[in-house]
Amino acid sequence: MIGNDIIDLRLTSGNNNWKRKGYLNKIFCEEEQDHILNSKDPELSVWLLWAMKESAYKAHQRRFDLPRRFNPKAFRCEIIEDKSTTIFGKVRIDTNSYHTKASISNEYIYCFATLNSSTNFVQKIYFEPTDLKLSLINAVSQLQNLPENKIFLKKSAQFIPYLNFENQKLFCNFSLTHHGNFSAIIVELRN
Amino acid sequence: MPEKEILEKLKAIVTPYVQNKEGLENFDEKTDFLNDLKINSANLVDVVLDVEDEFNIEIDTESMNGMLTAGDAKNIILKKMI
Repeated sequence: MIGNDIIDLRLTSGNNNWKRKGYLNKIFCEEEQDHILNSKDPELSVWLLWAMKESAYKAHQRRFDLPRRFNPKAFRCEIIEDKSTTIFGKVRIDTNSYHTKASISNEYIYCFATLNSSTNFVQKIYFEPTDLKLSLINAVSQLQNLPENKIFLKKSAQFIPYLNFENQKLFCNFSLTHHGNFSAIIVELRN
Repeated sequence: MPEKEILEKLKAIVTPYVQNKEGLENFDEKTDFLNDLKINSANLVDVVLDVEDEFNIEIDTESMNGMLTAGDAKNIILKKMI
């Protein structure tokens, strides 16, 4: 299972909402709040942990076909290795845990989460407005050798996107994300 | 407070965060914050905090987890204001 999240830092910078009284406490547990407030760049840490939680949420929701919940605090982040522009982490929810890898540039944070650290995938990050639906269909048609014009993107009753081919649900785990000018797709490869 | 008034106040609260303004035209209990209004999930926290301030209530984690539509928010407010 897989999930991803992108944050356009040009939209979040100068937005001080996270400093509002009570804001951090709605999303982050005490340890996470300590980590944020003690980090070199608290604002960047807020959005890094947020992207970790979002991507893990997507992987978790897809894995169990869960109804939507706005429960960011239930997802607990741990930074495993911080190489400044690449950050490996773990996100736990109940007894489940997901591996995350985040890339940070001056303009964006991109993070994806997988159930297994050995998961193979293809992903594309777009730096200008893109038709993500078409990009996804194009990528999957190439991977599975299917005609592009017969693949359709749908949403389940739980609002989880899936792909249909000739009225059958395609066995294909993927995730889409979009924020501001940036967007990305990630597609899990069958081993 | 009449339910209609609660919904009107909710509409005013969410408006600054709405990315799909058309979604506001038929604002009612079924209006979905994420799907219909395209509110960014990070801004959903702002909505929760604004609702707390406006109605002078505290929205606990469990209630927040289920606050996805205007109707969900209205029911939480009604329950907490008693």
